[in-house]
Amino acid sequence: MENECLLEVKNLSVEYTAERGQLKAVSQVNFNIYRGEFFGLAGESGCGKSTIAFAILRLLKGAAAITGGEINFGGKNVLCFGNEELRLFRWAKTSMVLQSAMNNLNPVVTIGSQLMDAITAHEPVTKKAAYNRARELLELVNMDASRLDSYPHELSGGMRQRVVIAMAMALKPELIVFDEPTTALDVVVQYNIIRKILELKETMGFSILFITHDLPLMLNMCDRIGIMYAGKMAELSPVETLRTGAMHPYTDGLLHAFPSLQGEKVRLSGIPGSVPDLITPPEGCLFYERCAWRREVCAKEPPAFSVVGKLHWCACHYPMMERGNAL
Amino acid sequence: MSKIVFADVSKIFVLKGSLFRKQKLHAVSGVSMKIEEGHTLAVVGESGCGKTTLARLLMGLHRPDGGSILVDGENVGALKGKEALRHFRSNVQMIFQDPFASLNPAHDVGSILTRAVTLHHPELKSIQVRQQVADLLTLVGLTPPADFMRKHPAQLSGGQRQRIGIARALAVKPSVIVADEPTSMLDVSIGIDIMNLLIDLKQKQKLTMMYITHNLASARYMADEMAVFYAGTCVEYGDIDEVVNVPYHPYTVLLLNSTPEPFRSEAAEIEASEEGADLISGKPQCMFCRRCPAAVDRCFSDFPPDYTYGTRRVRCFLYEGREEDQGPAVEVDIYRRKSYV
Repeated sequence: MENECLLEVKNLSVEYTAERGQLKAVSQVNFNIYRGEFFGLAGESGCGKSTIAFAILRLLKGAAAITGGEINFGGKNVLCFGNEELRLFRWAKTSMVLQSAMNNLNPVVTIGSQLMDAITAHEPVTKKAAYNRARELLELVNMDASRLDSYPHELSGGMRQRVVIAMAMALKPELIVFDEPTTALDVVVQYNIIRKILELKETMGFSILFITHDLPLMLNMCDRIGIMYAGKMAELSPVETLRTGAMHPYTDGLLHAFPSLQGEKVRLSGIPGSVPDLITPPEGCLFYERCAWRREVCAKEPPAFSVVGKLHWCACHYPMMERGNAL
Repeated sequence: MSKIVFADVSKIFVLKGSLFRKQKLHAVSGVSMKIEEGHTLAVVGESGCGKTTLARLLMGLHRPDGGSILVDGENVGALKGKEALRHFRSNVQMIFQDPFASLNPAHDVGSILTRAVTLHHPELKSIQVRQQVADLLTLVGLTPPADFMRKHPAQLSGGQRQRIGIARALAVKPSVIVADEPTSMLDVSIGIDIMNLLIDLKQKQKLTMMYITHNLASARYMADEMAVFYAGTCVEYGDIDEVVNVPYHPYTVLLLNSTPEPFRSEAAEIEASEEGADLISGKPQCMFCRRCPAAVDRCFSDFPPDYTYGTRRVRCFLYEGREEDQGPAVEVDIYRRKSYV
């Protein structure tokens, strides 16, 4: 991993306006993504992971508003970009692949012209040159160039997702955000696509922000992982550290909620309770109600997101390593 | 006698086509398997492999076009009339995938469960019904029951709704439960508790279960036996630990190695075709032949029979004449050589 920071998310907060008040979807989230890094953001429904992705590309609209913090990309704050700067930033510097490929592609336009659209919108190239680029892009994702003339409905789900990935790479961005790119796909197709993404990352050198709720998948491929809970970053660490030395009780709970395929057969347990109401969040730690290790202080004071090891942060008053002594 | 027997079951759907040339879709073909009393069979496979059709056949919601399904010796396909079906369904119940769509939003939990109880036991007095509903809620871990009876589905979380779905299925005291991806819509930390609940209920109520899933790890967590489906055929059947640890069929090998397993010692490098199977032509062939790196000519022109090794059965020509002590005929290696289409 190179150590040059590409994306810095600093104290980011996002709120949604709901009928009952302001919903704190993301609060005070911090993380960096380095050049060439595969960074994963994991968490369950409603934890704010997709909101962060949309905030980075400034795609939040309507009820959502960024209420604080900075998003620095290559040293410049994305939140201060004007319209033209934003246009140059989106897709050319950072692109995005969403969950359901079928909804991302225009059903009445061929794959080829959609790819060419993305290229000509940003670069002053001839139609011929754009066509050739589109061909190359399809070949990059192992699809036959003859597919340029196909309409989305003529392709399988896996192929459509490949087209979307090709489109995301069209302008050689420095960062690609993948928001649950394989959730709707079968495992064999998922495996092929993930492998392709890893391979392209090596050859093209972009960084990846990968968002999913599928922790086993993430543990197999990321460099570092951030675990989110109720709009906050609970834990952030390199994958290896997380596998064996998770410090946050929520991370620990999540890791123990996935049955193993070939390992020992043991009875697992879920995490009792549910996520707190983020319109009127409790005073202390947001995980308090569900935490097996909670103590008095947890109900009153929100834990700070602090260093607990090498490249390892955790937001807990009693992270796992200290718990032995504390109890 | 086995509790549930599938004997050479087939289901064909007629697709819209021209007036004279209707296309047929072979959703399930030649499926034979058994579920012993008190066991859970996991049916696994990818989308479109016939898992849900199989569940609907077992529920009597579809009639098989070939073969028969016996539950306690009774032929499901031959049930005639409302009364016979009602009686059958008081024995076989289903838990659905989507807890948000499978409960009527206009009714409170009390009336959803009351209806299920009275439908099959009209003779009960209202106080007895109320007691049964309360018992059901307690059974699925929704306590105190009086609080939950008054709630509407919208006031419940996904996990709680799925518990209501389970309580409703148990209301008629069935001996067979068909669970169709009951946790795929839930977060993992919630889903695992639903799986635990089903495991406990199975033991407590002595249920026989068919558990349908695309997630191999959850299949192993839940079930005793596993049936791997591909394009409407059961390609491999056996004790779940045996199948997961030493897969025999090339498709099972592919499926297992594509599943992310964070603590696996080494991740396999595989290359696999994504080509779809031909469900339309009805040509006799191995359904997996077009994706199989080990396929020979015969796989394209003949439907492979079941080869039996103890309790395991595998539908693949590679096993013709192969002795039991020779073990599996396929390794992950086969996916390393061939590049995909």
